[in-house]
Amino acid sequence: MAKSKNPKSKLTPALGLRLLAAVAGLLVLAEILVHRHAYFALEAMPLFFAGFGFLAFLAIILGSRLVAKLATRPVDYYDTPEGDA
Amino acid sequence: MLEMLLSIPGLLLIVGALLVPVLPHAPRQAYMLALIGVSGYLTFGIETGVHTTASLGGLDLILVRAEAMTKPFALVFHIAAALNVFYALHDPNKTTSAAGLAYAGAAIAALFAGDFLTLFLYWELTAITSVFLVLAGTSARTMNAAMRYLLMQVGSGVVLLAGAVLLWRDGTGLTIQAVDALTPAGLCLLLAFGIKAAFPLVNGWLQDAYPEASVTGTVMLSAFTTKLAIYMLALCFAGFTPLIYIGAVMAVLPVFFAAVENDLRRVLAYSLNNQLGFMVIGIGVGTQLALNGTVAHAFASTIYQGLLFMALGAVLHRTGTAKASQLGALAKSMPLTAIFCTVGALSIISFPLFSGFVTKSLTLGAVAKEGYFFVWLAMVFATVGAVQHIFVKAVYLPFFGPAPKRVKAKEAPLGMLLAMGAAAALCLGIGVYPEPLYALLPYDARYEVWKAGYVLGELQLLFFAGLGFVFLSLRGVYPTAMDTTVLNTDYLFRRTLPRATMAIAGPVLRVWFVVLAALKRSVLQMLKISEQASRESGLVSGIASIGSAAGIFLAMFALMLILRQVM
Repeated sequence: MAKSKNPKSKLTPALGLRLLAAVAGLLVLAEILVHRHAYFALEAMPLFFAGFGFLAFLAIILGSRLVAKLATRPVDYYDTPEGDA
Repeated sequence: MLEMLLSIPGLLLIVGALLVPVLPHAPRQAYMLALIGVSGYLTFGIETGVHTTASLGGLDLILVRAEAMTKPFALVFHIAAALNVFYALHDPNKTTSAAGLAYAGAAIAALFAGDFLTLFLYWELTAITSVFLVLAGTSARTMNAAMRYLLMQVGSGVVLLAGAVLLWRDGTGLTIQAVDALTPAGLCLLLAFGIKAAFPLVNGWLQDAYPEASVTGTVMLSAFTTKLAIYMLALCFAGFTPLIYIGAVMAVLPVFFAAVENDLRRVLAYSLNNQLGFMVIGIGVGTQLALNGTVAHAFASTIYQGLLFMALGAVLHRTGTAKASQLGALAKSMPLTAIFCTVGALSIISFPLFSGFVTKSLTLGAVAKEGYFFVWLAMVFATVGAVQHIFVKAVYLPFFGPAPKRVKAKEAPLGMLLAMGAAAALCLGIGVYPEPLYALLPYDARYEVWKAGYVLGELQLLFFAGLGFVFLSLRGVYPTAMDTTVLNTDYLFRRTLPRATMAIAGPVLRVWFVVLAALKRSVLQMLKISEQASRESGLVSGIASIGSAAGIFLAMFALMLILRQVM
C-alpha cells in the first residue's frame, strides 16, 4: 500500500503549509527563551522533541510498510473458502 | 424493591431498560435520559466505603462499595450513557437502545461491586448486553464477529470466576482488593481483566468486533468494557511492574497497524488500544501520581474517543462508508462534524488546552519521575502515532484532504451534532480548566502541566510530527489508503487455532478408526471361534459348565454392545 506515489501531492495547501512552517520555526526559536526541565539526559538535548516528533513520524510510516508487507491480505481474506471460525 | 433499585448504582438502568422496547421513539429517548439523570444524581452522592452487603449460601457479598477512584469512573460512564442517547436520537432501533442502556447500567453496577462474585455477574451482563450492539451491525460479517466477540467476553468472565473460586479456596475471601498477580488466582484475574482491557495477543476482539457494530452501537461499545477493565486492574494490580511493559507494547504496536488499516472505525479501535496502553502503564507504575494519571486519562479518553467514534460514525451514516480510501473534503458538506472531530483529535494527541494534554501528562510525568526512560520514550512515540493515525489519517485527510471521488453528504443529524458538540465542549472544558476533574481524582498527587518548558516540548513534538507528514506527502511517499484486511491477533483464533485443532485431531482420529477396525475384526474372529467351540466336541460343549459358557457369551455380548456404542 505504501508504494503508490503521487508526485504532486495536493494534500497541503500552500497557506496552511507556510503557517505550519512558521509556527514550527517560532517553536524552535522559543527554545532559546524557555528552559525545558528535563528528567532524562537525552530529553535535555536542544530541540529533542522537535527532532523526535519528526523522526518518529517517519519511523511510523516506515514501520507501517513492514506491517503492510507482512500482515495485509485481500479485503475478503476471511470470507474465502477456508471459512471463518 | 424500589429502595433496592435505587440503592444499587446502575440497577435502575438495567431494570429500566426492560421498558425501553415498548415505548414509542420520542418518549423512549426522554425516558432513558431521565433514568440516566436520576441514576447519575444518586450515584454521585455515594461516599467512599461499604454500603450494601448480602449473604448468599454462606458467602458474604458486597453489592455496593465505593473506592476513591469509583466516582470519576461512575461519572464518566453516566456522561457517556447520556451522550449515547443524544447521539442515537435519529435511530429508531429499540434493541440497540435497550441493550445500550442495560450495558451502561451493568458497567456502572460493576464499578460498585465489592466482591468478585458480584463483579462476575455484572461482568457477564456487560458481555451479554453489549453483544446486541455488535449484532445491530448491518454487514455480512456481523454475525460471526458478534459470536467471536461474545466468546471472548464470556470467556473473560469464566476466567474471572475461576480466579474468584481460587481466591475463595485459599481463604483470602472474595473482596475486591489488591491481589498478588503471581498466584493462580491472581493470574486468572489478570487474564480476565486483560482480555477486556485488550492486552497484547488478546486484543483482537476489539478491532474485530467494534467496527462491525452499527453506527450508534460502536459509540456505545467504545465507552464501557475497556474502561471497566482498566478500573479493575487499577484496584487489584496497581504497582505490578510487568504491566508497565505490557502497557508500553499496547501503546506502541497498534500505531503501526492503525497506519495501514483503511476502515477508519477500525483505526479508532487500534487507537483505543493505544490509549489503553497509557492507562495500563500508569497502573503498572502504581504511584499516586501515576494512578491519578490513569483515572484522569480514562475519564478524558472515554469522552474524546467517544467523540471520534461519533464523528466517523456520522460520516458512515451520511456517506455509507468509513473507508479512508473513499473519503475526502468532507468539511465542506459536514462542517460542524469536522470541527467537533478536530477537537477530538486535538484532545487525543494531547495538544495543550485540550483534555488529553492535562490528563495523559500526569502518567507521562509519573513515568519520567520514576525513571523508566524507554517506557517514557515509548509513550512519546505513541503520541506521535496518534498524530499520524488520528490527526492526519482519521481527521485531516477525510475532512480536509483531497476527495478521491465526489462524496455526497449532508451534515449529521441534530442528535448526533448535539452529542458531538457536548463531547467537544467537555474536551475543551477539561483542557482549559482541569481543576474540577483533578478534584475528583483518588489521590492528592499533582503534576504541573502548565510549565512553559513542558508545553513548548509538547508543541514541538506535535508540530514537527505534522512536518513529518508534510515532508512525506510533498515527496509523494506518504502511503495512500488501500482497501485490505490487516491481520491482527484475532488471526490466532480465526485461523491458527482451527488449523492447530485439525492438525492434532486428524492423526488422533486416524488412530481411532484403525483401532476400531481392529476391534471389529477381533470380535468377528471370536464369534467364529466360539461357533466352532460350541459345536459337538468343541471347547464349551459338554466339558465346561453351563455357567462358564454363559459367562463367555455374556462378556462377548458386552464387548459387542460397547463397540456398537463407540462406532
